[in-house]
Amino acid sequence: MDVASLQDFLRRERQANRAEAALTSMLAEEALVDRGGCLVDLSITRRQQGALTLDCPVNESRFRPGTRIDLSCEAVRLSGTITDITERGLRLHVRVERRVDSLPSGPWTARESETDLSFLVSQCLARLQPGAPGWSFFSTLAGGEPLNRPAAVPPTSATAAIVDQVIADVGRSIDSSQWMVLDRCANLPSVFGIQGPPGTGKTMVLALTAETLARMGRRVMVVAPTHQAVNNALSAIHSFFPGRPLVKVGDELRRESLDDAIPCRPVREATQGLPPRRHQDLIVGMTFVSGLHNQALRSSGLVPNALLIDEAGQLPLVQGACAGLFGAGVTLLFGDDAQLPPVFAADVVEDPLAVSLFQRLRQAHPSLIARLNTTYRMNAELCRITAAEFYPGGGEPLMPCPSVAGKRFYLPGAGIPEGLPATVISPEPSLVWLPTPDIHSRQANEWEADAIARVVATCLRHGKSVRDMAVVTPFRKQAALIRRRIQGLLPANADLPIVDTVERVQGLTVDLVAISLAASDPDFVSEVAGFLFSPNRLNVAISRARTKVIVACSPTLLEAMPADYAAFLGRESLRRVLTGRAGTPVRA
Amino acid sequence: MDAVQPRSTPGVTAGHHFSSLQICPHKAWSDYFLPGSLKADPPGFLLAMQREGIAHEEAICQSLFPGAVRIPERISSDDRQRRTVDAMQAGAPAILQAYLAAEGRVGIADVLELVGPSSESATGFLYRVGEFKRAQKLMVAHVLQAAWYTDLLGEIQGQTPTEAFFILGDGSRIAVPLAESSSIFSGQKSQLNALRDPAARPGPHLCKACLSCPWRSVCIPELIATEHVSLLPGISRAMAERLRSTSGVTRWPVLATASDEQLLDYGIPSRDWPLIRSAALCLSAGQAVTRQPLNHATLRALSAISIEFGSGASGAAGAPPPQAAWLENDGAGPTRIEIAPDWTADLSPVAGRTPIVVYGATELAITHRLLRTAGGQSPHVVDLLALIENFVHAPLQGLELAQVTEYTNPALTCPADGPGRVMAMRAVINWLAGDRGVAA
Repeated sequence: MDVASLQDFLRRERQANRAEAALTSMLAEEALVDRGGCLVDLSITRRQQGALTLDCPVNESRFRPGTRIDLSCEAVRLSGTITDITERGLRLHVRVERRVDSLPSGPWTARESETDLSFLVSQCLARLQPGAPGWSFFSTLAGGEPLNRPAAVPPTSATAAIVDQVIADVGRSIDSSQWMVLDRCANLPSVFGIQGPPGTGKTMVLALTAETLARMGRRVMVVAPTHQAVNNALSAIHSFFPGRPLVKVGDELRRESLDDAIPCRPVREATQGLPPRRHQDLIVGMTFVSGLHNQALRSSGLVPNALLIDEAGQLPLVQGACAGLFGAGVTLLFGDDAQLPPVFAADVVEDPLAVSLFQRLRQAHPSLIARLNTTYRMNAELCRITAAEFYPGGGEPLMPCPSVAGKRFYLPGAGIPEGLPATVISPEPSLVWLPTPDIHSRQANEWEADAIARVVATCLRHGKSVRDMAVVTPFRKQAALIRRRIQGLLPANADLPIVDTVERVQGLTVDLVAISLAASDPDFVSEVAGFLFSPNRLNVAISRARTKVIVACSPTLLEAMPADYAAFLGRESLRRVLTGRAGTPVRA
Repeated sequence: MDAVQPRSTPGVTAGHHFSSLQICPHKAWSDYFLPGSLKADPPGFLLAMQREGIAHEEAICQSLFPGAVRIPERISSDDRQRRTVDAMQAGAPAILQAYLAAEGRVGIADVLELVGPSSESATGFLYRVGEFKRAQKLMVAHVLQAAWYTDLLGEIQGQTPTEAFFILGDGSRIAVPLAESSSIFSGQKSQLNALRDPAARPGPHLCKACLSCPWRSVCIPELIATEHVSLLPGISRAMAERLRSTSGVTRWPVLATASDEQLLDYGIPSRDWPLIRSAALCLSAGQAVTRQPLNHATLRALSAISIEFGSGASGAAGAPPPQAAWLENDGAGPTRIEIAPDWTADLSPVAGRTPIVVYGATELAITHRLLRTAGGQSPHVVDLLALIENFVHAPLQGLELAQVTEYTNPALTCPADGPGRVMAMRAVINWLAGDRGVAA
């Protein structure tokens, strides 16, 4: 790996994205709606300065907060960014940068805009030169030896005291793997990776680390690929250490899930209200791309000593390689390369450089990654399945915390949903396969939607709340079908559990997860095998649950032949999970 | 099929049968029983990939296996097999193009790599199979092919290695334990054995792979002549088999005229009915059948560009540097624009209009480069070949522009020159945008 190869990868990815956009531009509107890249029949229901609220009758799009959209109505065109989606997806809140009072009320069409970060990233990569700022981090990623810790650091005994005090201030015990990670971070490695499998407390460890480094006198910055991840990290720091000054640098409208006590400001106003002697105490958060804009390209006065990158498993290497430009002597990567990876254009997805920053660190320096090994979420059975299939080898095995290991799913008084086996709601087993009789489905499977709706309805009628469960499916059409089925069974319920694709549930914790794989037609399964059999997606889906996982899928899924060998191995992993043979070794 | 006489006995099973079976069972059957003279010429891009593959293999052999024994290809099969065994008995460090054969079975491994001496081996040495692949990722067909060669190797040396290795396009070496795929390997061998019966002919089924299949000139006419249900998009092999076995339906007009109740009885989900009916109308009218609806207005607004290469021919992969671009010109004939050696060209007639359409990845890359050199905001550049490949569901006999034009406008021959290609592209675009072509 070198700068030239990354620049070349960036150029090829940009070309691939443009080619994809060009092809997509040839599709009719109904096809774009079908693909999730377009919404039609939107009506403006509220106008504010710089913001619109639009309602739609149906939403099966992939739009989320943060999606940039192009709105059109007759001859009127404008662009905006979705800041929130409410009312079960039927209300969009959009920030726009023009006057809104004279806009027609509708009907509007919203299409996903093309976004291109390649120029910014290319400029940043061009700054990476031997001897220049950012080079040492880059050369570590490229396989060079990491630098030793900086000379000017507190003595070890003072460090240990700070670590002990931070743990004491949290008011809860931490396990040995968490302590080990915290201790290593406090010793100021130039680069270090912390892998946090599901439920192992990665966010808490990040918060402890940030606080520890701040007490050691380091200027700490927290970055992540998305606003939501940054906001979650800052909110976690605030919840454990409410006295720590924090600021989110970014648009006030992008503070979803950010604690109300944390201000959201432009970079120039980040230290507002803090006396200069306390600027050093401030922990700053921003998205990684914002950081590239502000740190690497313009002098912001917020150069960190310690950079914490959260969700580094979702940050593309080509961006993450520029992390050294932030100027920090300590860069800590928090993430999990066994969960969702970054998304790359189809034409470059097989390129060796199409990896996350976290994966690259593992490839170059596996010894620089430590894994948290105790899950506080999954019971023993679910932990065993997850550990065996998704976290094999690599030191200490993933184990359930004793306080959760024995937990089971209980639904007292509930009868068995009609037509389904008792095991779908029984305490044991914790993972149940519900074989689908259908063999001709593609992105929507009515049998599975009906079955899962009945399970959800049974749970809600017998004391479970919508927050106790989630439904995960690979396809938006299946998610929409399942929601309709649930609403049909429970028309009086205003709230539904989360029913969505796996991208939207990473980080979630519930008692029960129902997974509907939907696809059963062998030809279609072969076409989408790489996506359907992704072990990362299966890991995220299963590991949301504390006590119960129901997987609805057709046996034909397990017989369909993927073209890609990695997808075949993923299929075999799914087979082992479903047939109770998870962890049966195949590779020696 | 009346005009095509298959052989009465199948050919030998070779490694490539596994990839054929994965793509299409009928392809595998055709590999066994149809004469090679019926194969269509491979498309230009496939030929280019094959050339690259050969060059890649040569480079690997020279760098990784410099002392290897190479088994010549232009000698008899018996000689090739004998020389392979001789090299194994001599303990050659590596054997390139190793010929492995048994009754009714053959395999030509890219390399047999010496593991070491072995008293349990019939040849005195233990070897394992290695394959060189231009691809950057491992495919199931690659592994099954290597498993096939390993089986044959096991019969020769009396010991079957437990793994094979691959050198991929990025130079990386991957060792694959064959136990991982043993279940599907057994299943695929059984399926291939079953296909070695002439009566086991599966029959063709239109899919994306047909566009570059060597048997397309045999299968496509049959699909059209029999009005096969697979001419409608969204009818999978499983669904086609269900239609045939439970309802005796094999022809698309039957589905086109079926009532809602009948389609339900056939097992076709209601969400697919609109697509089936609209596709049937298009087939009847000779209009393009697409897997997803296209924006006809946007299509008609495309401006076609064809690149002329130094030899005068255009659009050929691996061709000499471009010397001119032919631009579609409203009302008048195509306009020729010189391309200077420094890649500058006056594309102003089209640069401000969106979008541009070209044919094939080579011309797409060239056009992008010309627009980059020109500077300013580049319009979308659509690859018409990619558009057809991704969205069109039609019994085309290939993806070359001439083949597509032959299907859509048989009266319009597609010359190789720039203006002719521009006009052909316009005809194809208009067909995609709703103009009538040849009715199915």
